[in-house]
Amino acid sequence: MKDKIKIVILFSGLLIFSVSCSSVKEYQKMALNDKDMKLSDKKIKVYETNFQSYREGASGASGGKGGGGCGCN
Amino acid sequence: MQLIKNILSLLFLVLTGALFAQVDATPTDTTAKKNGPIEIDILSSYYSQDGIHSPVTGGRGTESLSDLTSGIIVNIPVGKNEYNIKMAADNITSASTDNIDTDISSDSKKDMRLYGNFGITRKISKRKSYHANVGFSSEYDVKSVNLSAGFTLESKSRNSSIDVNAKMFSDNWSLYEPVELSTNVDVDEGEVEVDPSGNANRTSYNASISFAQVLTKKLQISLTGEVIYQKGLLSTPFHRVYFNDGVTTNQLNEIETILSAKTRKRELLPSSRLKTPAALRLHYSISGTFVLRSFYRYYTDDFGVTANTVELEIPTKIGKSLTVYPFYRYHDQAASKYFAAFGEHLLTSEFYTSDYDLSAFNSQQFGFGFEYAPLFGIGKKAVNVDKGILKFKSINARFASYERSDGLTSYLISFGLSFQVF
Repeated sequence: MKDKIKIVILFSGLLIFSVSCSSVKEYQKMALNDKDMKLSDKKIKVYETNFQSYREGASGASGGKGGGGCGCN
Repeated sequence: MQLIKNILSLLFLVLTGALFAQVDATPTDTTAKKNGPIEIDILSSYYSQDGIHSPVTGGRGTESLSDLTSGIIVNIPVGKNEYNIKMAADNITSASTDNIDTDISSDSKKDMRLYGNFGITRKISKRKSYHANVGFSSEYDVKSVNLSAGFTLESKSRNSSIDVNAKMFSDNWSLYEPVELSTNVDVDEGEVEVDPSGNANRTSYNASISFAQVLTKKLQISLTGEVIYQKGLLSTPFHRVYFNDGVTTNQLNEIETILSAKTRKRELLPSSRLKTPAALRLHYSISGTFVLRSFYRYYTDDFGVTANTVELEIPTKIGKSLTVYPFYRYHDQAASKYFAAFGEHLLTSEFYTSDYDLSAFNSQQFGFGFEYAPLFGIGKKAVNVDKGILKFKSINARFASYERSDGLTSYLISFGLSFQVF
């Protein structure tokens, strides 16, 4: 599994490196400026992320809590 | 000060449902107008779950729980600063925690959690900002405070950005134990220090770094890595663990099992835990109508839990004002090395839990949401004599159904109203 993760990270890094030089101008960002393209969870999803972090052993790296702050029934 | 008074007045109006009534509010200055709109979001949700593996009764018994949450988020831009205030309250009813003792519908069945955060983001330049946050949380058995700070940098082309964040939680737990174990002086606290009043601490340190990159005119991604280190009381004091001692309790219900002679102890886990999640988010604008939002996370920790999570969401625009978004989420995790089911732990085990949140399972979640957000808002109202305008910006709703392979099922309904004050 660790090898797979390394491949994903390496692939992502290469992807970024290969295309990040082709700069997108501000006037070309109409689609990127759509509110649904924002690289974060919607505000209304906050309570959903909370219950997932309680009901699953895994949490973090998603904008929600990574640990601490509640007794979590 | 005047601004804060006006905001509180507005919040009161919003919360009392007097949005569109005739208002004779106090005068205000024009700060909000100069600084851009104040954003107000009112959110609420109802969560309900049921299952048969409650850790309170050793991994066997009802997990029935409901949680009604109401909260408010306010963003106030003032000059180079943006202030963020969050307040929320959870009202929890849990048949599971009712079994901490053997009384039916006792005080342990209900809990209320209040939590809030106050944050500041300061823009140093067009491409650089710092943020800091302080928060609290209070419930029956846990009091918590948290602090965080970080910064965001954008590239000159504004096609890439990096966000670095550090956060600390300090939790103080009152050790409410299963009723039959509360007088047992032989309870093992592990390496956790318990103060004379019977409280113990948990401290969590989070550090995260997130890199976002525009790849094309329609595609952008972010990579996030996080390290979470926790120390102190990591087990839950009222979770029971029943051991493999030859005593059969198959025919007994939860209360009868509590009253039985079967050997049990409080859950015991190590006093430190290191979690390392990493996530990739990829958003692609398929067309003017469809957007693809995707998320993948890999998680591992030194309790032995490893997990993969995938999420897909497709916001679909219907007309100019309405967006609907179906979504699907799949989660798969391997069990913690400290987990075993009811009656399967050996008495020689150093650490033990029967909490199925730490077991091996997969879960599926699907649902849909909608957002109604007309370009010029749903409604507007002058809120004071200085012609401040309150705009009813949008309505959001979301429904999610969740199913875990160990039999736990749940659903969540969320509802949100967004306002702006100019």
